[in-house]
Amino acid sequence: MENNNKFVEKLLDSALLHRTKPEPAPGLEARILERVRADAGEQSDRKKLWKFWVAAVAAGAAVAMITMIYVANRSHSPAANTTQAGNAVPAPAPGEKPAANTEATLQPRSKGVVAAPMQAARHERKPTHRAETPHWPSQFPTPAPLSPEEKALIQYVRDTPPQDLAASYPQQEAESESFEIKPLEIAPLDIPPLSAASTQQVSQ
Amino acid sequence: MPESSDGALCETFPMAASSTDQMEQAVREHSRTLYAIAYSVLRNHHDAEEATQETFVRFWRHRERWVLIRNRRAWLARTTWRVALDMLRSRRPENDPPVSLSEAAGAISKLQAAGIPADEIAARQEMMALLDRLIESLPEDLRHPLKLSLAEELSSREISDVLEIPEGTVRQRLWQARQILKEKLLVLLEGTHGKQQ
Repeated sequence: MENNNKFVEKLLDSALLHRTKPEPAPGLEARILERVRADAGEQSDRKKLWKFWVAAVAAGAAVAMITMIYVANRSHSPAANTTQAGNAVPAPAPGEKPAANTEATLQPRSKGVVAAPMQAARHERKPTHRAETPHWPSQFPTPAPLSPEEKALIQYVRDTPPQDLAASYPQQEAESESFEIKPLEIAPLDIPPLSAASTQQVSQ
Repeated sequence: MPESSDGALCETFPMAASSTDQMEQAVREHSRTLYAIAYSVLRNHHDAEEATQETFVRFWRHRERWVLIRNRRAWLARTTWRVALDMLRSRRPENDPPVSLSEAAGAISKLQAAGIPADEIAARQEMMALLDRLIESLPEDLRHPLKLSLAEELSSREISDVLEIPEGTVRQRLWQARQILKEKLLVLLEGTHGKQQ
């Protein structure tokens, strides 16, 4: 029994010692370094790709931001402010003809400002439509808000049926036609010729 | 290491010469130890090399934190141990049937009866197979320290670093593991002796 114990102990120690020495294949260190190098290269490529995507996303976000700011500014442009400030539209450019429809258009009361067309006054403005198709004023700075008299006139035009407006227009025309302006008459100049006595007085 | 002595990593990292030197030094100093640790877990040369390479890849990725590593050898050994265990778990079960304990013990008893010294018997394949079976039958908390101590004669301190348990516990478990192995071997051999008689 004692002998068996010793034998087993010795056997176990020897077996454990023999078990400890696994030998790797030659060139293990070179293969490890090669693998590390390959992995590092892949990582470097991945980093580059990652940086590229980050830059692309940042650029895209910047472009989107600038576009949004630009669109927002356009929707709050001076043209919109002008129309909001009293239904006024800019006066036509010097070469432009005034609106042909005399029924719908008011004559200008102050320099550079015309009243809004009747149709535009009747129909409420649509902000979305204005934002999509903004029209820039032909006059800068934009005209001042309408005066109380102009507003009253617009109100009158709004409230008055078009037939009544049309009926009142020829009467005004007739009144203006009955008033005739006579042509100016200028008396001819009468300059008397110089006499001998008058020339002596001048020489003295 | 002829291939790596000219700075294989420097081709990719010309600016990280010092890191490359350290890396090559670590590979030179520890690759065999790590290989042995991996082999003690996986019992397969190819897998052991794979685990060793993976360990050094992770080590390189951590190069910015090398200064924080107190004991580089222990860090590498711990990483190898974990990589090997992960590989072992993910590896499909081997198709080879396990060696029969009674057959192996019978063969050893015959050798003992023939008067062959214990050293010679220990080097035999039957004894290696029997020992592997006995070690694998140990409880995990005893098996792991024993495998690490057998792998590359890691000290109790290093084993405690790898397994993250106190050094005294490592010594105690190693002693327990040896005792259990001895008892099992004794029982096996006595059993076969009885049968033979």
